[in-house]
Amino acid sequence: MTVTKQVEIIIDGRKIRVPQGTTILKAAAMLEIRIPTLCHHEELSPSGSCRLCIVEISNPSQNPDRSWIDSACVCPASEGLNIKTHSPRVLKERKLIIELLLSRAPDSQQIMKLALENGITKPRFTAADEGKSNCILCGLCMRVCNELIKAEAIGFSGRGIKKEVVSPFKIAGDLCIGCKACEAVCPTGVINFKIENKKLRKQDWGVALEMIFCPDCGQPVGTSVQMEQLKEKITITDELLSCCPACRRKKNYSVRTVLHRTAKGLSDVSDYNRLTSKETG
Amino acid sequence: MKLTGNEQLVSVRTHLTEKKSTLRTVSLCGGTGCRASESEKLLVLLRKTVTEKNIDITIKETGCHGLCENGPLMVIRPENIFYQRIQPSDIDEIVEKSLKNGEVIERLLYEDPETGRKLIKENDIPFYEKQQRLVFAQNGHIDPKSIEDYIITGGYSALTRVLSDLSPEEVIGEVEKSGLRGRGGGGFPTGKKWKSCRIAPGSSKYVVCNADEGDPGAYMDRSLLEGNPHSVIEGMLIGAFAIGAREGRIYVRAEYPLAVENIIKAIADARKWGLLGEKILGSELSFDIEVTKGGGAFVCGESTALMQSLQGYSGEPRTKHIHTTESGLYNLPTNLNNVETWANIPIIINRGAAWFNKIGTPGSKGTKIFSLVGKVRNTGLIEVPMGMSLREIVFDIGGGIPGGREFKAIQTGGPSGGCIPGQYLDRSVDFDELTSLGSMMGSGGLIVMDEDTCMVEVARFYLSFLVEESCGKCTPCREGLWQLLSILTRITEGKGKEEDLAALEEIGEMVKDSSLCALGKTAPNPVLSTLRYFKDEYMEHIVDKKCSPGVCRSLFQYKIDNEKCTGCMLCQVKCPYQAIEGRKKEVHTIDTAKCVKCGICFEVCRFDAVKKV
Repeated sequence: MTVTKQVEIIIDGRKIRVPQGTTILKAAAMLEIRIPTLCHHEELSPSGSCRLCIVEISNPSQNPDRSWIDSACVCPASEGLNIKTHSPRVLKERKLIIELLLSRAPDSQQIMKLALENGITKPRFTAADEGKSNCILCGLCMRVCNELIKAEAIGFSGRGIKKEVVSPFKIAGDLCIGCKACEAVCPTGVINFKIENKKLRKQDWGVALEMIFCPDCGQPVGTSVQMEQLKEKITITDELLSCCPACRRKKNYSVRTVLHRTAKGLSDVSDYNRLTSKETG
Repeated sequence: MKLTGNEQLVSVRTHLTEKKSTLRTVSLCGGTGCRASESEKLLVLLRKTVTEKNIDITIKETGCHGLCENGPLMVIRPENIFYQRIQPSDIDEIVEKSLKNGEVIERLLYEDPETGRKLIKENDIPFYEKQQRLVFAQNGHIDPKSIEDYIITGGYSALTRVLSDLSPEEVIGEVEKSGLRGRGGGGFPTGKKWKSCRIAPGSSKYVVCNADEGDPGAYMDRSLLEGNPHSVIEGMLIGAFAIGAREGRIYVRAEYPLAVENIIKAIADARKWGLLGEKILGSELSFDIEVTKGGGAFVCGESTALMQSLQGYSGEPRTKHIHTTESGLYNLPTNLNNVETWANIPIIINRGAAWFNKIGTPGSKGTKIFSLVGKVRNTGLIEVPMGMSLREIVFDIGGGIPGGREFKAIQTGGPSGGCIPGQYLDRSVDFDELTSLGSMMGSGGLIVMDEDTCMVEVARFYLSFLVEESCGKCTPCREGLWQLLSILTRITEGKGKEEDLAALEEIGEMVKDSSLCALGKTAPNPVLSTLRYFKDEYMEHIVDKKCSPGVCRSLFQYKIDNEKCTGCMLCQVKCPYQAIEGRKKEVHTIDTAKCVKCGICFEVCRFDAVKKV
């Protein structure tokens, strides 16, 4: 077994030893230094796209006069790095990035909160789409769909300011299983599935999936495709599976894990646990 | 014929050279510039006429000769007669007089604008005189579709030298010693890159050629692939040997159909001759190249985006904390160099690093190919030693500014380069020098601007290109550039405010600092460099609501000069909006309410009576 080399870095004046390659974001978390992020999720591949987590980095042993900006979520720790998470340069640029994000998603609670925290009281910019999409193109929805759910139902189309998250050709929603993981991870809360006429719908992606309703109480349980996928993975009777979590419990069946899976709509227990622990943590 | 050893290649070369040296040739430029002036028609006509008149001469369609401004171009050898701006009607005379009897047709020669002297030979023309053509040396001589032509000029001799005399480490040492830096824009030392790819662990390795030349107006790489594709293949072969790669890729944009055609033909020929494939020339080297056509996104010239695209994903860059030399294409060690870099390799091996190292400046060695375009007399492709001053390039090679106008700025480094003003014309062309001036070498675009250019509009134009080409992955580049463009558009429309300048600088610096890839990190250059050197012009737009060069339509009006107008009615007839009134032989007036400022009256007036005020 290879032993990962330990490196010493300094974050905001505090020394820490971490395995080489640990991201600066992770190392900062160990020191309980909070660096804001939007496109980052512990269980998904790093993207480095929102740039909110930018930090100022220098390597005094190599060149004391040079410092540069990089995003903490993707930048690996290497020996001797000196990192400032709240230097004037970082704060100035981060504030500007938040202003730009606000122009993209003016209705997002989370971004409004960030803006207020950073002293932005009045929006200065108007985005190309005037903020109608409310999407900051962080790609979390796409990454959770591809990497954890493995449905690969959505992706980016277009580039630059015309980029958007869509289902194939904006019409083929049939890869979607209706798990709503994308809705759960979306930082701007712009992904909304609706139940209409007994179907789970997201019109702009062409999604219309048949819903299963609890035979006992009538509550929605999940989409039928998702139920089919779950049946392949766990041992459960059709009768119990079609019940909502509450009614299943009433049926005196100890299936806590199953409840979680179906309620949240994830394909694997560990996926669910990881996601929820991140959300609450 | 499949060559199985070095000696065989040498004897084939000797044989071909003996056979061809006695023949006279006529080289007609078939580069993209000359093709645009219908050189293909000339070729058909020339072939037909030569056959009809039964003249013993080899006709070659070559790659770009460089002086695209004066195309179509032709050179008759061995006399070295250089003809320009040839029309189909000239062919008969050329064949009869020059090809048959060796006479010179004066009318088709280049005329020195200074002295008015007619120059016969290509090398006597000032445009070529100051150039040092190494990489482009064979471009106007060889038929790019003929592997024999390349072999005659010493082609693949660098490969044989490498295979018989050098170890991979020695090859890398030679490239390192040469001081060659990547010609694609970054200027990273090539030998260093090769070394890190050689030592990177991996079950397999790739060498990749970046032919995704995306700068508007630049066509250096295109012309190399079109005109001398085997030099790129030979460079990649030597790279593969040095790095230990078995597979190569050429990523070329689909908009370069002739480059695609010629490189595919060259690869097929190289395979037939045993110069690509298993056990090349009987050695242990096995290597082959695949061509991938790109969709033409500017960002795909960025190494990680290019590799994404090669793998079939959309071209989005990733952060480069792990270099592509360690984990690139399919997560394997990948060495990416641009077309011109690869084409430099055989030259370095043939002539030696010490020789190559003498050309250029301390930090930038060798020559560089530029596409010299814009407001300059001799537009075209030039190859000059590094360190030549911008003045020599613009005035000696480029022939200065046409129409008696004044030089204003030179834009270097493509859309994300900067604009350099006249006071720095004596600075030299060198990676570090251009960067210190707030611009960059880039892949070698040079756009000359004269006094009629509005620098705010120039910045706006480049930003509109970059907004279009930003992949949209990271916030600073996607949103920041859009805001820069919005502000610049506002200024050019006369709606600018003084605080806009501070905002341009603030956003520009942030985008430069915190964007994910090199596209974003350099994209604010057009704004920041024009702000640095032409702030007065911004202020004029914002405060005085004026655009002196008369480019920004919202900031001037067309007016007819009463003194000069003769009442010829030409402008009135040509105006598509019936905005001009006035009877024959009476002074005309422009109805500003109807005028859309299309500028047609300004262009057609023969008496200089239409003014921009």
